[in-house]
Amino acid sequence: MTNPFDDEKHSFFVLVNHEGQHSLWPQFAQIPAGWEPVFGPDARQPCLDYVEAHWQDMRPRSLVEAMASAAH
Amino acid sequence: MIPMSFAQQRLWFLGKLEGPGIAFNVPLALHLAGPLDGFVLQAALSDLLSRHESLRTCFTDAEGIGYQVVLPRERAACVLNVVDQAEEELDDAMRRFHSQPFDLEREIPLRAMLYRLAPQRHVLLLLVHHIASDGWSWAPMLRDLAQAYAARLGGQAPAWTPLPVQYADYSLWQREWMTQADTTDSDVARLVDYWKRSLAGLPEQLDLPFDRPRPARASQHGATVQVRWDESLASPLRQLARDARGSLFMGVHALVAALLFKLGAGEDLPLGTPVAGRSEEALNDLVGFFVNLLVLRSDVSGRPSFRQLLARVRDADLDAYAHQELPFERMVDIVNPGRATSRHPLFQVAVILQNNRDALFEVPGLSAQARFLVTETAKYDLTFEFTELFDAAGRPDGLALQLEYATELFDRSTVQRFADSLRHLLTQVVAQPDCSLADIELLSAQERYTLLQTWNDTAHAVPNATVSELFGAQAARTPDAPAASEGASTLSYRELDARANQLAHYLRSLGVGADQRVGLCMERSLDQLVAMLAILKAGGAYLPLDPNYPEARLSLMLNEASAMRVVTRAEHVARLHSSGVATLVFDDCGQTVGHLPQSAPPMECHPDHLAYVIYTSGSTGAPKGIAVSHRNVVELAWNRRWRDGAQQRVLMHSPPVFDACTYETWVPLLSGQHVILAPPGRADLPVLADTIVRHQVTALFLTTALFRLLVEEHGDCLGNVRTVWSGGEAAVPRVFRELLARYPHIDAVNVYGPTETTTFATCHRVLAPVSEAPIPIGKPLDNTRVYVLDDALRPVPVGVPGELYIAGAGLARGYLQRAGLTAQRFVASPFGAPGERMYRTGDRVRWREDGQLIYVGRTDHQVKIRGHRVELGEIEAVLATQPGVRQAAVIVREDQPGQRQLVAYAVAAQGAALDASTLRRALAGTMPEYMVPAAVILLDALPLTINGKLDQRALPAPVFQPASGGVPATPEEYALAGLFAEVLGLQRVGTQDSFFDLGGHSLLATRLISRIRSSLQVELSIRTLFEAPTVAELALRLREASPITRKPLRPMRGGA
Repeated sequence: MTNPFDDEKHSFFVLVNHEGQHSLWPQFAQIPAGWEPVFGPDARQPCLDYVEAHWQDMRPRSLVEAMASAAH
Repeated sequence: MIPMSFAQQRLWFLGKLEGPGIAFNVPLALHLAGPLDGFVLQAALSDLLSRHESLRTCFTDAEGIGYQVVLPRERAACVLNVVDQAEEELDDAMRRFHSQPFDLEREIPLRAMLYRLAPQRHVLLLLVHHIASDGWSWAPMLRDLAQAYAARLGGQAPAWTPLPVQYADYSLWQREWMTQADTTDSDVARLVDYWKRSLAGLPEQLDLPFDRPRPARASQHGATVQVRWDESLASPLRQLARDARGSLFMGVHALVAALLFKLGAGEDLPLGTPVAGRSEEALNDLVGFFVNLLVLRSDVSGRPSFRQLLARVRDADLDAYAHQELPFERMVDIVNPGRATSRHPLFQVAVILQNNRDALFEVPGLSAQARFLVTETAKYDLTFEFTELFDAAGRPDGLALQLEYATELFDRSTVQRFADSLRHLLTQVVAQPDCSLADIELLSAQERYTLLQTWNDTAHAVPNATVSELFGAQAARTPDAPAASEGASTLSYRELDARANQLAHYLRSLGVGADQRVGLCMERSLDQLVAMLAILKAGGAYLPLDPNYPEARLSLMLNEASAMRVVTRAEHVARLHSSGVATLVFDDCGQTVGHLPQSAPPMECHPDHLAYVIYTSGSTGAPKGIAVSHRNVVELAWNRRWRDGAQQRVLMHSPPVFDACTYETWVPLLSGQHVILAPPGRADLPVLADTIVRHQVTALFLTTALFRLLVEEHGDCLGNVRTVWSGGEAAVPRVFRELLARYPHIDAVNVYGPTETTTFATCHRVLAPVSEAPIPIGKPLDNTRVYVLDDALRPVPVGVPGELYIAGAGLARGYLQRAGLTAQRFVASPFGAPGERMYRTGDRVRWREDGQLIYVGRTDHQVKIRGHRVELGEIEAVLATQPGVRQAAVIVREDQPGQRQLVAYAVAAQGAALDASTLRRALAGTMPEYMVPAAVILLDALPLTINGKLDQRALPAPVFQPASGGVPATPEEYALAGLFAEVLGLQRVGTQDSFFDLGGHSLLATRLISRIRSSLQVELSIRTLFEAPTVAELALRLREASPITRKPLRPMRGGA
């Protein structure tokens, strides 16, 4: 059996959490608390393309903010 | 002679295959209160035999065809012994009686015993073999016996209406009817056609959460679990079934299918069920084996709701009922499944709604109560037998469920859990019949809490600080303690701190800062340790590189990681040149660095900044960089498991590119302990052993393979070690056993963890005595949570394999520069704090009842061979336990397109001589045929990758004889090849060809065995043919076989 995250038959969302971290998410499963869909539902590859295009800085947002406030 | 019916032939064949057994003994106890005359009862039994030929029939076979031999009335007797019996020992006495196998060739299939408990209290035990009866037979049998008893009591013969037909007539009629199959358009052709379509592509085995692997030979030992459901539970199921225009049976069938689906048995679920098989009215009053088995196949694919599943089940069941007349034996032939002898063909799980007519023994003056006895056998892996209950007024009063299970496969607690789960599932599906089954929760709230919370209760406070801060603080606390030693050289904490600070100032001056990657291409040494620490102190993240890697790979990693510098030795500079990344030669900058301050540079880095990046090979071929933060490292180093004082001197020997180095470096260095460096280069066992002894190492981590080698070949060096952690691959119990037998004081730990969750995630202390059962990978470490999930991302129950997901403080930031890959593997967690992620490992595990995780295999190491799901690890484990085998590996090869086969590799222990064909035969003797590798290849050593894992691509391909190869060379082979060809209807058969590959099946096998008996005068068992299916193998067995002692059987009565 194929893992739901690898199953091309499913539709997916792209979810984002408070740290700006992205997660692929199969449409059939309830979206976990603390995550918001920002793309989809769509086929797997378009979702991954979205992630590649939009998640450029993989640092957690809290780290980026801590650095910004330290610099000021 | 009268041929057996198809059903009888199957039981007969099973008996021949498995030897005398009691799986088909059916005992019934008749409790009788009132005056009873034993002589009259004896006479009534004789009347019963007179009336029913089936009860005075013996069986035999000739030339592979089974025959019934009906004894004349006067020669058949069922002797009724009468004994005085103490009531408290009645059950034992009855068990002894009904546990005696029948010899169906020499005795009639009915035995009786009368136990006298008191002058007016008796128990009549009737024991019938299934070959002569079925569930429906009891009603006519008891009725006839009661009528005969009553008549004889009055001094008369029973006044029965003669039976219109006997079982022999039925058998002949059935045979004749089945020969119509040759004519198209016949009933039979239509049935065959239906079952061919219906059974196409049937899964060969239903994979349930077994507690133990299936033995090569099923013993049919069984036990039962019994539960009762109130009408309040049963009635909504009846209603759902009615709504679907289906029967209660369809309701329970759909429910069982839903349970098996939730237990991970797949989406295509063949279940067996008996049907009465008495399609002609003339058969109603007969005692005999008429019952037929149907395969009911339910399809749970596409996320159906229970209501939808019930509709599918109804349609499939109605279709199957409409074609119920084809004997099960013919269905088996149609599908001709793999000849594994250890499991039931076509289905292994049965579901039954008991609807036999009431069996009543009614005699004036006697009160009788009939009770079926439990026989401690199991016909199938698992049988769900439901019985409708009624109250005194005849109203439905709930359902009784009896689960019969094979004790070789299941523990009682597991089956009890199935029963509990089924009940829970029922409450769920009746409450929400339109909810997708995938979204139905199988776990009770209590179970869910245990799995998600209790077993993940790992929270523990850890400092919010960077690795460099914590090291600096440690150095300030214990400046003079030894930090690291290499050979005769030692650096104290003060020295290591000062040297790293100086280099850090220099790196800072080159522009190294937070999150920036700095390559570290040095052999293991004190200098390398200084550089590693310096990179962290400068705020950067180290990227360990193996100087022996190909240039192209070094270049790829440095560039993909956007490394701003690479710290190295002069001798490696040329190899790094092509990367275009600026090098910093450690030895050359000594002068400059020596003048820089020994105090730490100002801290610019945050615990969530990166500490290191480690590249691992990706499944797609390109390596991927795992980006690990300071917080991740501190979490590992702060684990309470290290606080027992055993980590005083930790061996550092893993290649720097391997993440075990995180443990070897930071666990000791952040707690004031001492790192002992093994000499540079790849580990050489004697050198490693010498380092351990010379430096009095107290703690070390070893990969599974290295652990085995060290224990087996240099076990002496571990005498003063306090703790050994081992992991990376499935643990070998034997190695732990050997270690602990020798050094019981050692804290031996099996550990598991992907690099993505920072080295270690779960661990289990192995205690002596080490059992054969798989060694658990244990429980989660501090601040680590583990989830075992199914394909719908729901937690699976205890015992059910699922994929392991890990959440918590060890989770790396992700894959460097691979946002897409990171989003696929580090995914949203439905279980933790809002916004939390979990890492999906690709490893299959299951929970043990005590909250320990058991490793099952890689999701991608699970292979399919001829339709069977096979875990390669299982075959490896068996091969590794063969005498003289030191190491074993099994892989799937496809050297010729479409020819997927298992190939095993074995390495001999020192001084042992292995023989490949002996090993292969040993495997064939312990596991199902489909799991036996096509070839066993002997190697001097298993090829390993740099990380100490099996290098599959370096394993040689087997060389096979041509498929039809082998010309008979001996008289035995010549004779056997002729008989094979004759029985199989072939022109010629090569000596290497397997009987079963050439279309042989169980019935043909009996025929072959009897041809061998008649023409070669040798008695072989059918089992021998399964174990030695080629002409060449069987010829060897011929020499060991016994010459026949009994005369060939002759027909007992003419005509028929």
